[in-house]
Amino acid sequence: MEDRTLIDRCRKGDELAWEHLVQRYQARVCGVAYTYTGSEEEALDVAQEVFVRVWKRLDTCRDPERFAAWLLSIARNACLDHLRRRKARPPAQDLPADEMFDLSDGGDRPDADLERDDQRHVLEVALQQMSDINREAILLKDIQGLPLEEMANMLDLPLGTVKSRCSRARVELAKVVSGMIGPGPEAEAAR
Amino acid sequence: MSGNWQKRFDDADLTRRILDRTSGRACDRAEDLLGGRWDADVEDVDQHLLQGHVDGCPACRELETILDRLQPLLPGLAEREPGPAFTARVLARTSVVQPVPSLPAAGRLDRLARILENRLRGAWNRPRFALEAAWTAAALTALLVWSPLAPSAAPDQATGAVRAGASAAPELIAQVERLADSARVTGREIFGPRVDRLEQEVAEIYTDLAGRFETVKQEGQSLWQRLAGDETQPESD
Repeated sequence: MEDRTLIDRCRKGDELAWEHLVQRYQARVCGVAYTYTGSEEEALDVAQEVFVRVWKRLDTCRDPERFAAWLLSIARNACLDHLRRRKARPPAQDLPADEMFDLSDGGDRPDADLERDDQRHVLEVALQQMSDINREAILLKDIQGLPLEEMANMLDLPLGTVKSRCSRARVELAKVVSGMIGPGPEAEAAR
Repeated sequence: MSGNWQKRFDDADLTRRILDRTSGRACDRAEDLLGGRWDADVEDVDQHLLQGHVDGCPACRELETILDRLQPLLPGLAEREPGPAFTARVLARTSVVQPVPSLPAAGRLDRLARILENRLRGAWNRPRFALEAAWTAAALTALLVWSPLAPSAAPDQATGAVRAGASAAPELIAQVERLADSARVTGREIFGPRVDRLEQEVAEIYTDLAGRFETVKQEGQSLWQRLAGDETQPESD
């Protein structure tokens, strides 16, 4: 069922449609909230708050075809509000060396699910070590797949600035991951 | 011999030494291009120049490898399952929140119910409500007892009426409850799923009202006792 149909029904008070809409987007909103907060518990609280805001403002969503982008924008604002309230970010979690997944080993571990979890964990820890601005760029562009133009609108920045920010953010993420897993043998030899 | 010369001229280390003495290393520019490749705006010439740099720079080559491996993994972080209870918690929170205001397709009855619901809730929730109710009750009592329009036996009749009213209060409350039960049954037929929420709000209003009623009753009893005390005291003159 399309978002537009669900939203129309929600506006008429159809609680089943609202439940369906929540189920459709809750994991995505939790993903965004987790990337901003770095805490599962806080992410759940913020995600609930996001849906309460969406429910209250559903009639202001002018273009239901772009509901996902509108939702992301509300989620972003809710996360920033939360971070402002929290003020100080918690220290990034240290990952024990033996739990780190070596991205350079070609991924030949037998348990594919375990490998995926390890990769995810490394990325989540690395994201929390990045600067706020660059982490947000990675989240919106590479994780949530927002088009650059949409991102520029949301952040109220020129397109060129958004492009260069995304580029710098990817490099920062790669360097953080490289610092976590250690330099490759070639790079080590070159130093 | 010439092979050795050629090798020395191709040495990336020599390039680095020359760059160090001229423009500086090109790694910063290479990083910009490496990070921007996914936005599909690297020109062919830049791509060619980048490849030349990466071939001779182990650090940038490693960066390129990591970027290539990370990029497909990132969309996997887009979603995070919140657990089975999440939807229920959101629905519980949104069902008590005032719903979307503009409902063009809603019926008149539905809108009327919503307006009444909001007005009533607003009235009962006002902090000054108890004070205003007490003032109104006091003014009505004064009209009953001391008004020039009252009959000659007004004080006795009025106090009797007030006492009778107080003793009739439990019966009145019971009647209200019976009416509420009846209205609930009728309301369920009319309003359908909205009744549950209305019931919850009525229950809250009722609890609030009971608290306020108890306060007013205690204040009334205290006032009554003082008035009764004044009546029994002999006049000083």
